[in-house]
Amino acid sequence: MDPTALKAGAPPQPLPTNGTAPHPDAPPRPRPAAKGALRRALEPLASLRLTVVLFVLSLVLVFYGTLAQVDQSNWTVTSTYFRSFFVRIPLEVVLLYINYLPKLYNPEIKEPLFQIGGWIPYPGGWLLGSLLLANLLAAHFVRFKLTWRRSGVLILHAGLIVMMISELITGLWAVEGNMTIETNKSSNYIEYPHSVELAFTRIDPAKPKEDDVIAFRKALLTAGAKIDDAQLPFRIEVNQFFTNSSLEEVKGDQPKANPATAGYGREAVAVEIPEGRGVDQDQKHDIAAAYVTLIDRKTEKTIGTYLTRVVLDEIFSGPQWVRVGDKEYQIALRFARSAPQPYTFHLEKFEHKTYLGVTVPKDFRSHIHLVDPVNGEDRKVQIYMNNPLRYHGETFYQSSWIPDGRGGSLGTVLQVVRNPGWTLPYISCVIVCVGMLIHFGLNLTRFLERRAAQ
Amino acid sequence: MNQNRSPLIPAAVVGLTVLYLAICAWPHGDPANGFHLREFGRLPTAQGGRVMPLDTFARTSLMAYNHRQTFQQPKEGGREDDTETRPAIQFLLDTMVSPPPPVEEGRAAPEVVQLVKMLNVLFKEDRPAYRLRIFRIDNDEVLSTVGLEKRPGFRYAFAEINAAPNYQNFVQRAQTLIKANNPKARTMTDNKVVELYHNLSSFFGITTLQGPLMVPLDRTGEEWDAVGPALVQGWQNKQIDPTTQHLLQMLMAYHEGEPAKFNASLTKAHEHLTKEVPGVLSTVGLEAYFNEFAPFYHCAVLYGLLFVVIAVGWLTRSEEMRSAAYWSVAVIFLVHTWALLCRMYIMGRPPVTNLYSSAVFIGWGCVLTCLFVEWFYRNGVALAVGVTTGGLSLLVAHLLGMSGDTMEVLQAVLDTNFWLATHVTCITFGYTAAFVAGFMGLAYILLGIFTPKLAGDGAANLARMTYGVLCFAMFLSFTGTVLGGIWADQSWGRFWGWDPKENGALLIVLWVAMILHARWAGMIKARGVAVLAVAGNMVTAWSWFGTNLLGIGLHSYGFMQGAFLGLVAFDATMLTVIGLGLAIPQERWRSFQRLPQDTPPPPLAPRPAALATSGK
Repeated sequence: MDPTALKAGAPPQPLPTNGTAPHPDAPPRPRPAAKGALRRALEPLASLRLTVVLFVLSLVLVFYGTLAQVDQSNWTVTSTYFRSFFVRIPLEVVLLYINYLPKLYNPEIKEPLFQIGGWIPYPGGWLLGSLLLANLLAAHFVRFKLTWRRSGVLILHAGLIVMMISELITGLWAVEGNMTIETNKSSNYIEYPHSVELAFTRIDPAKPKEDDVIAFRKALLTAGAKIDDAQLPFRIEVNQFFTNSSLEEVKGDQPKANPATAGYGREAVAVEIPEGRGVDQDQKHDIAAAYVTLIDRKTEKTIGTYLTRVVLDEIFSGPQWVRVGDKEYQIALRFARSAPQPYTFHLEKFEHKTYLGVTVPKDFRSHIHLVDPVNGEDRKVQIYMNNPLRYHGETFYQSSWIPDGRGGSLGTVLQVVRNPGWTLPYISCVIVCVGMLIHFGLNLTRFLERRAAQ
Repeated sequence: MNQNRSPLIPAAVVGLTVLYLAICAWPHGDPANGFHLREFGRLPTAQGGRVMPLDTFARTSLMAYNHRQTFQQPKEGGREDDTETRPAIQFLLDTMVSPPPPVEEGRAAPEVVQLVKMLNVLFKEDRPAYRLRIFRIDNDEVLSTVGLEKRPGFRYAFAEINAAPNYQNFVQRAQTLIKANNPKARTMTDNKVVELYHNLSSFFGITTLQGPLMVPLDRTGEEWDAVGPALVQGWQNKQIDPTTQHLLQMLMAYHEGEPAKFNASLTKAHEHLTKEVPGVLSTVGLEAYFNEFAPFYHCAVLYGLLFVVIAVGWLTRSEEMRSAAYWSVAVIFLVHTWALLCRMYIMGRPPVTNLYSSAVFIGWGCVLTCLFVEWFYRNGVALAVGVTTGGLSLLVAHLLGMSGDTMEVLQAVLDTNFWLATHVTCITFGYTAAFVAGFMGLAYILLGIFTPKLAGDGAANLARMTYGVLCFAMFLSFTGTVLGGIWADQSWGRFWGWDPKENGALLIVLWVAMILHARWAGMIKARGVAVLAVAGNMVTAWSWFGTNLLGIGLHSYGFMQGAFLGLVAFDATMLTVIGLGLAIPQERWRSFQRLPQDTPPPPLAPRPAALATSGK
């Protein structure tokens, strides 16, 4: 070995020196003289160590919030992990990777290594977010010092505050829905696929244009619930409710297992299936189903047990009807709907192109005729991928289409989003990037200057 | 030891690098008197939604069947196991002139029956394609499903598989699985059965000339047809389209073993197509050349070799060696850059469009960053990190490239060059910086423990480099993530949806922010930054690959099995290094062992520059 190599370690320093002195980028210590009582009180909250701890806690939350999506939908995980104060992280999520390590040895192993129930309590996204925000605000209050050197840091953290506020606004007030329009038809309402309602529609022959709708929200539709509404001539008992379901045709040998006694349910049974998972590449909406029994209010006789499902037309066409006395009601479990909007979208054409010889979609776009008598709008617009329409405080995106089962389409599905904070990420992005450019740019310049000076 | 002042060795290293690349890049011509197979490979075909050279089609097909881009052909007159390696394009041609097995009336569409009859008239002899062992079946259960004996090399011929005792059962099982259309419920064997079935069908498609779409139907290049159907069509209309005519004459000349006729028809076909669809042909020739050159593969090999050169430079303490390595890496980097630009030109896209191209781009970014850093700290450490990360990511790309066409078309939602150029490029640069910082941390721990390399200023310099690169990682991954959010807002109105891929990006941002804040708080020093940066490699790798595995890797049996294994192996390595870095007290690291005598720094540091920055 080369002896000079050892000598190289000789300078009389105990250990590498960098880092032992306060780092030039470390925040300035508060001056003792200027310390007010408030500042002293806030000092623990302003600690950088707290920041680091909160970062570590957030990392763990985000990691497990991602792993949880192997079994749960993105929607469920977002509300339980990220838009909550506390979350119970199941042990099977914590052990996910360990459980699947045996697959490396034999890919056909299906059973997890440890099958342990139970959960770990953990701070949720709202809690960690607010603590990070408090920590950030306190730190800047306690150690505020306006110098050119620290300007980048100040700017970028101001941008982060805007970003956290925008996520808060989104979490609290953003609404996402769908607008489904068949070709050459119109729509003036928005559906909310994350919620369903049980709707009874009575079409008055005297006033064919006006529907008389009575809808019950998802919260009322738990198994065993009884719904009694004076506007309906029958009472409703919810027998079963499935968040996600598949339909199976009734075969000859299984009529006993079928709870339905009337309507389409005599020909098909709904089977509960797990909710869609967040990691699925082709995320679809959960298709809820319910068995409901209708009891005639006057005679106390059971009219029948009906199968209702958000999508029935896989097998059946047309709505399902219930007849009570001389009145006929359409019964449907459907995605929750908004009130009629002041505007109407008419789908003139839906284009759906795929690449040559493969099913990979190349382009899909909706040709919409927008009519809004209230605001005097009447124009034609095209909505396609990465080119949404912003109108009436809402944004309409090309999201999907109604398949006709033969590879073509019957119409379009637009995603409709109302988010009062939608501009904030744009603003915060610019602020943070400018801040980082200033801060890291100054560092780089200093480094280059030092080098040049030597 | 430090007397190695001869400029010969460095010049030789750079010269050899250039020579190696030049030999690989040299365009190979076709033999004057033989069949012009390379020229044939430059014919256009429409496949997977884009126009590509026939060569790419032949390679990806053979890759799917044989898991290689070449095949073994028995030598003429030799024994059965006496074989020679032949290119993919010859497999394609051999298969195209093999008459398909007769099909009974009623068992296929009438056009297909007619086509099979016609082809059996045109190509009478039984060409060897059926007997070529080009189907790799390595799964025991699949072999027993078909009824084949296991053999070394796992290669089987179409004729053998067709004649196997349980062939009908196998076909039935595959068709049932395909009809069920539930990929998530399939076992690994199920997947292999379906894969083999698809491969056999695609091979049959080539023998009936329903295979590659080679006949353009209009001048835009949007609609194409295969030779077989075009032939049936032409037969019925009593007028065969010129492209089909030339191609058919070519195939017949090949079948009859007449190179001159073959080459003449080939030239006519090229001329005709150039007139017919001029717009789509511009990139086809380049892509065929690109396939043959395989620049990424050769760059990976050279990066690996250069690592050895750098290590030798350290051992011999030779600045010349380091300098030689630096300029050699710069040369390879130029080729790497050219190859990236070629791909961009061929696809008409920004650099990163899929997992494969992200691996190629990360390798490029790593080498670029390290060349830049090495320019300031001339001690070979950044250079070693550069060739390691560059070589490894090109290796990953090579493995990813085995699964099919690497220039596949993009889904409608991704079909936006603006966001691909901004968000995707930025976030991939973020991965790059995070990996470079991680491998610098790795170098800090390994070099510190096992070598005296970091003595003196070495450690402080490396720590400073790591810190600088981490700052870059912070900026790029943050900006990239936010741009992704803005794209999501533009595409479906949700800036942030907490979906796995977004969370992966967020994890990198949080991780780097955590390291930087812990350093500013004085909670960690150089060693802590190194250890955390190495752990950052795991975070980045998980974000890059792990999130893709979540959907298809853990509960199902996708082809990403290998990726899961790779990820676990990578993490295990990183954990070992972290364990070493934490377990061994720093005063016992070889670089930091104290010596009794106090000597000035040895005259090793290549330039005063390296000392200068460490002064304070």
